[in-house]
Amino acid sequence: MIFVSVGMMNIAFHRLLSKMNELAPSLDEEVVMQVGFSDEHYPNVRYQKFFDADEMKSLYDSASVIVCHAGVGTILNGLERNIPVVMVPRKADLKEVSTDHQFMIADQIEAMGRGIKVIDVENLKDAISKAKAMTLDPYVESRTLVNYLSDVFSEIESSKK
Amino acid sequence: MKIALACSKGGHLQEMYKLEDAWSKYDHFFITYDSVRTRALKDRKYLITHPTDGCIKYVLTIMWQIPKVILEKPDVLLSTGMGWTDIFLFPVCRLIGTHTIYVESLANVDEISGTAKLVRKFANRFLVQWPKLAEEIGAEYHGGLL
Repeated sequence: MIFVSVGMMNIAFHRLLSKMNELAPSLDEEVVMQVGFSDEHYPNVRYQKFFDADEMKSLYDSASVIVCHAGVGTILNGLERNIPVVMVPRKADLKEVSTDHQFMIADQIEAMGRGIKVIDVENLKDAISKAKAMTLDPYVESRTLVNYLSDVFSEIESSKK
Repeated sequence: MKIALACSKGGHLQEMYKLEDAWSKYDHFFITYDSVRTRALKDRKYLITHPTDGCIKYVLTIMWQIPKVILEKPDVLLSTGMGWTDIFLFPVCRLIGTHTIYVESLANVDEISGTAKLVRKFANRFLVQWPKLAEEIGAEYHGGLL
């Protein structure tokens, strides 16, 4: 199953969603989409604006590839499951986002070999094929930051006693 | 000890949950934006209308919820990014003696956000998740979520 997610952002991302709807009949896997704040209709796919937490988890778990806006939440969901992410950064000039910040993280994830950045949605089908062919090493999450904060909280707690 | 967890509702919330092992053992509550996802949070929470859902509603919910946060008297405020709301939360929490920690989003690789620049002077600790960025702007770096 190809899972498409555009996250919780209060702006619709119709550019990605309409292209995936158009491509769906020609893809060899089911396409399911979390469409967020979009009121458009996508007749070729199963879609909802939002799924509850358990459904989201199940959809991510079953995906062979994740196609998404280049949002950190969606990307982290792909990384922790070793699923390649095809990331389409939202563009400020197309009023899909307030700033072009999504390009930065997409570049980093692509450089890590964990996904593919797509700027023009005409290249989506090709990117999805390439992503499905990727073999990813098991992803190891960094614990440095959480350990640092644990130490800080412990220190603050001791200073209160 | 009590920790206030401030974050926006999407990836920022996800990043907050990646730090769960640090905060979950303490009494804690969320301050976050109202959404299907955040209403389902099992933790104690104060929900604020997102600014794009109406400026007046946003200001009204800020005025309603922030006093409740003050009454909680949190020892620590940890934010993974809540946009405009951080600009109210950080100075107010500093005034009441809360230790304030800002963790800039993983998404901000080359530069920090506009609100982060404003919040910085009110943060006891100001962290970014990319070492090169930390060096460039003189922020703290203690690892990132990647």
